[in-house]
Amino acid sequence: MPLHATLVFANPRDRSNAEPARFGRHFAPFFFFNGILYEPNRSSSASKPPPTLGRVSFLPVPDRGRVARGIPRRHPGNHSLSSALTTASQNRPRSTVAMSSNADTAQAKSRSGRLPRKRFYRARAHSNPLSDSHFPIPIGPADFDYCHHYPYFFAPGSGGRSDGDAPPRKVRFADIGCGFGGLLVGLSPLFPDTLMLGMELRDKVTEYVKERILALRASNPGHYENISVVRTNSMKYLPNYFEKGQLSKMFFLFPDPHFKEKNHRRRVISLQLLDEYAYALEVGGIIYTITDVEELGDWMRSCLEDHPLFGAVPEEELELDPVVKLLSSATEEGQKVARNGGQTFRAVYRRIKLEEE
Amino acid sequence: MEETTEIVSDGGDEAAPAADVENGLIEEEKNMDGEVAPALISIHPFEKSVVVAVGSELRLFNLEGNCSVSLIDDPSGPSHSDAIRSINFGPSGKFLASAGDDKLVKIWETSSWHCIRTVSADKRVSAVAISHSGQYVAFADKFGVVWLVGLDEDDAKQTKVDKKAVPILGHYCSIITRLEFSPDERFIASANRDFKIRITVFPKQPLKGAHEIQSFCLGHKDFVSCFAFACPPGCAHGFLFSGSGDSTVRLWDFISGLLLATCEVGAKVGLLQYNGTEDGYPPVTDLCVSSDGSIIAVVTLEDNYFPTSMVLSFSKQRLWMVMGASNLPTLSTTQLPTRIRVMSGFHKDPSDYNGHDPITLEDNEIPGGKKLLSELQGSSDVTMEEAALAAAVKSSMRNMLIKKEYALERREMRKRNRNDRKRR
Repeated sequence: MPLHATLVFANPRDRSNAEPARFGRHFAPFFFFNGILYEPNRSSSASKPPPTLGRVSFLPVPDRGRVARGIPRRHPGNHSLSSALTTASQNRPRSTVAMSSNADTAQAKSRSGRLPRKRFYRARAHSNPLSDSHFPIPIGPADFDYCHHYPYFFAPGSGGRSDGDAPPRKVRFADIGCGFGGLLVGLSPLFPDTLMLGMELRDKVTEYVKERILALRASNPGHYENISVVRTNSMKYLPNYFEKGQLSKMFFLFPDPHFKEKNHRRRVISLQLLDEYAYALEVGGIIYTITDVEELGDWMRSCLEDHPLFGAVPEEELELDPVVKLLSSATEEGQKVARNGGQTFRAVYRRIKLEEE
Repeated sequence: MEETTEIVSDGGDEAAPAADVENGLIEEEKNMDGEVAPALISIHPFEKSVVVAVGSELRLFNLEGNCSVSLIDDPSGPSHSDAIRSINFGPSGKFLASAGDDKLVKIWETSSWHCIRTVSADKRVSAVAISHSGQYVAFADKFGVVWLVGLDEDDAKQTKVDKKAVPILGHYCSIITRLEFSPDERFIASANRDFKIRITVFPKQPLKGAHEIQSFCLGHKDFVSCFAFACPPGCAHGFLFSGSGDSTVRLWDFISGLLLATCEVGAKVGLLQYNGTEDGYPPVTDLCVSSDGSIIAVVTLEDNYFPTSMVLSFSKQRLWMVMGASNLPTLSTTQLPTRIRVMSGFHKDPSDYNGHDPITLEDNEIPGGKKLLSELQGSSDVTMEEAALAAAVKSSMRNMLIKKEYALERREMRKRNRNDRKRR
């Protein structure tokens, strides 16, 4: 709790270190004067923590940041005083109320089909894959909870059987480092019967994707039931989720380049990790990588080329593959690169059998 | 095959009384930055000699000739300067490999006890293994990479330094605790601190890399500290036994990665005599298995005498144990005492079990007798030190097995001193 409080009072104009607990600007003592909001000159440093309020019931007005920035508000009919009051009173208690209540409203909103707002789920772009974060990991692939992730296909208690004698479905597509879920959402309608899983290391981003999926499921009944996300370190724990040869496609979209040579070992594609990816992919399965950093593109291509269990997919086949177009357009990063007119470097390889000498 | 499986799981029961007699064993658990290095023992496959490694010393006793032997090191190259973390005789008995914190892997030839090869590694080495044919030596470092060195037969007479080792596979960023070749040399198994055991196909030309993973043995809930292969007669491939910090010993079919049986060792030993000061059961720190899988000896962290390492001699059915460590805080650094005990009386066939429990041999009953003890233990009178030694070793070993949390200032300093650059 105190941590949240001090964060809120960090330099308000500094938007670069955004944290979800911070909602735009905040109001230290303020005065209402004829409907005009008057703020005394605020010092840029954190003066004192806000008074802790007890639990405040939620008011339905969602806009917190926009008022502060002076952007015209989306909600008609709320004149500035009452809205300022409500947002002001919401700001501070927001900072002290725990993340769980945030999650509650988020869930309520997504159940109604409202998409989550990214600004409340901002996190640093980089997360250290070497650290031992504490999140639950299944002991083995058999312990992966399909009912929780794909309730449409696995009614709880049915033991994972979807229909009759068909073998239980398993995850077939894996998006490593799925970020805000763009690719999953794009792929889901293309392959409605294939289960797909996104794996992401940052917990706030995973929360965002979870809420997004729930909202999409609520607003499009029967659709988007085949995608889900899990917070995990896929570089360490991939074999815990997938059996040998379970996956048919793996995606590595715009991975972290880790420019410094001493950080090269943190790159998600490397000769050692390709062993594990080859284990999880079936023979004939395809691995898709794309990046906008040329050096990383060369690195990934050379790793895949040097690895004996991967062979290049010819260009003609790539032309026919519907997934390939999504690589550069479906995700946030891809759209950003397109906006900036950057170049992308693609490497798509197929898992092959080891040739005997 | 089911019959041998039963014997094998009863082996766990047999181990429990063994553990009862000796009250737990410890082992060569590797850890980052462990200042305390446990003593290790290894025995020649044909029981020709016994080697004890304590700190940076390698002490050798020749059982056949009943005399002590000194290892002849390569005078031009480096010799072990820091704690030795792993020693291993090859199954053929021709070579001994030793490796440790000084980033050196030394390969000794057992007939002449010359050091025939010294390989320098990038990082501290935590496990070493020699293949059955004696052609390759594999070693694993703290960061999870397994390296391979080929031993050429014609180089056996000369000494070579700094022949490059080739990385063949890697666990991502976790310390590899044990490395072993499977008995038929088709696979190489590596266990790490992230609860996994990886079985990789050992190819015909391994110097190009071992890329194809056969299976993962997943099921442990804590670091895997030790494992061993066993090949009961009548079974084609053999099994894998593994012990871990979650206080269980598990039996695997390593070809498919299936967990066949679990033995709650901690619970069994705990019932007998565990004072329960910590939460949870004691971790299993070492285990060794006879080649046909009928006897398994398991070590857990407990009070009283506990070996820091042990080895089972197949032919004579004796269990050799050593307790000791280097850099113990209470003792001076020049002293490196160890305590060796031998247990015998293991029976191959449990039906033959006519009421004799495995017993500890007295000092003069050990093959080699007092001479062996004085040579390998480092000083002649260790008996009165035993209790103190036990307590000191135990507390240091306990610290080694837990992941260390560094204070913030130390973390920054460690980052600065870290050597992450690529090998030139």
